Amino acid sequence: MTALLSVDNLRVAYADRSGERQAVVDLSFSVEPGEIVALVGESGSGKTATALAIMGILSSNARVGPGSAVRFEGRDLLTLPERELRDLRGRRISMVFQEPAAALNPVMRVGDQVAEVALVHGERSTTRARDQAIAMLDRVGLPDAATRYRAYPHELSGGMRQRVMLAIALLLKPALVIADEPTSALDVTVQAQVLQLLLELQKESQTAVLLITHDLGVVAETCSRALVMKDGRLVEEASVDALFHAPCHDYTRELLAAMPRLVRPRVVA
Amino acid sequence: MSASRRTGNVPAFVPLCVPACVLALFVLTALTAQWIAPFDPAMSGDLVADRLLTPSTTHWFGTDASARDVFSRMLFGTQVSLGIAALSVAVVLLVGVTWGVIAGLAPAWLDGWMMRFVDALMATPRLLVVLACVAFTGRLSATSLALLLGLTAWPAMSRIVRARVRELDATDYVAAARALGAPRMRIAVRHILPGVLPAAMVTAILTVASVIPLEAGLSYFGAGIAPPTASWGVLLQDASARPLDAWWLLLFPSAAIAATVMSVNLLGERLRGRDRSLLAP
Repeated sequence: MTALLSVDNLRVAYADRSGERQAVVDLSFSVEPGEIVALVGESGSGKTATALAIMGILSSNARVGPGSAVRFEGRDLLTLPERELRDLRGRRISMVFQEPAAALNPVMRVGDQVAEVALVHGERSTTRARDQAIAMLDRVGLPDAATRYRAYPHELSGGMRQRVMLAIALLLKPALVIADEPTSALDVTVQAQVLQLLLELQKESQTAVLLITHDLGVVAETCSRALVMKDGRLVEEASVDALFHAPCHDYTRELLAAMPRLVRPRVVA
Repeated sequence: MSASRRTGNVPAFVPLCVPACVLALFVLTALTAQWIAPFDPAMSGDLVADRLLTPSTTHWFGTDASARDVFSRMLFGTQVSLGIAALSVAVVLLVGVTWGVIAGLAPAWLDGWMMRFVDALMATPRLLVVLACVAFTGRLSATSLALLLGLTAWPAMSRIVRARVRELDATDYVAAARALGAPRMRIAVRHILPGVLPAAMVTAILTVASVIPLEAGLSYFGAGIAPPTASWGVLLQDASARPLDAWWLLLFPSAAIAATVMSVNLLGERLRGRDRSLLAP
């Protein structure tokens, strides 16, 4: 099976006053269709920069280094013209942001923000886009979706907002969803529900998920494979079983040891 | 959040409805001048009997040296002065917001050039530009004066708008709009413009406060509206030809200008304070 997404020698550097800071260095990995892959690492390890680089929405002070390649469904996203890239974004590849309160437009009705995906990708009838959005909002478990369609983001709870984000990301059943810490801004009880929902939707639409997280508990529950990043580099890639039972890299062990547990950890050294 | 931050610089004891009502009254006056004016503003009465009458029940604001009813002239003057303010602010909004949004979303080099152009315009004294135009073209009509005032006032607006656009362009929700494949134009219109409007509206309101005295000043010095058309500035000019014994000629237009500018400033400052509290996370 050919990989859905393959990232080769990805380098991302941010320019700041003191010069360039490398956020991602020679990162290579791939994601198969329908697979859930975790991208793990502490804050500042380059996870989000990787996600933004794949989506092609890095901020203007960031630069992707020469020799980098991001192949998605056989096409190199880094050299694709903006118009074709726009066509892929939201339709074949989409993203769930960490902070749903910030990623939803505060002055736009949430339903319109869901319908926007359909409208941007060729739906001409606003009524059909609206119906599609309501159906999706209903699917992600927004109670009373037809009424909530008209709500503004501040009128919804954090969990509801993240459900809306999932609706936006999965409306057009993309082949790949990049979920950048989709649960870390939420209460613990809500985290589990949102994660559960993401998994259900993933199963339904056979979408591959690149799940960016620092929560190894989430990784253990949901993913088949995990990539561990530190200081912009990939330090370990392993199946989740192997990662938890026989971590190869010191950093992975540190990460595992840093997990709060109810019982004393067994896996060390 | 402290109370002073929430309400801007204006003490909270001035209720918002006071400046709002004052302005509403002036706008209403301007819109209905034709119907409520008791006399023709340009028509002189009996030049001997009706000259320089003190305010009375017939002539509420007295009459001027040409025996014209000052109250009627005030009504029509309000129409002209506020009309000029409205038109010039419309120009400021149109040009300033367009320029600011384009610069804010443009690549760095174009943004740089557009903003240096704005800097250059802002470094040029407005009064000088306006006086130069008047010197070249002779007396201006109310419409061209409004356009001229608008075309010299938009740089400040564009600078504020551009800063706000930059801010919004860096937000997660604009990144999210990009991530769902929205074209640039759609992002600009649907996601960035609505966020720019509160700041633009406040700036527009505060621009009114600068346009009204400027128009009055120009007309007063004879470089603005040509008499006999009444504007607040023209009325002041009429008054200036008289010694202070005809106090009513000076009092009413001055009071109108002061009341309008103060109300507009109060309103703008309050809205600005409110906007800031809305934006605070």
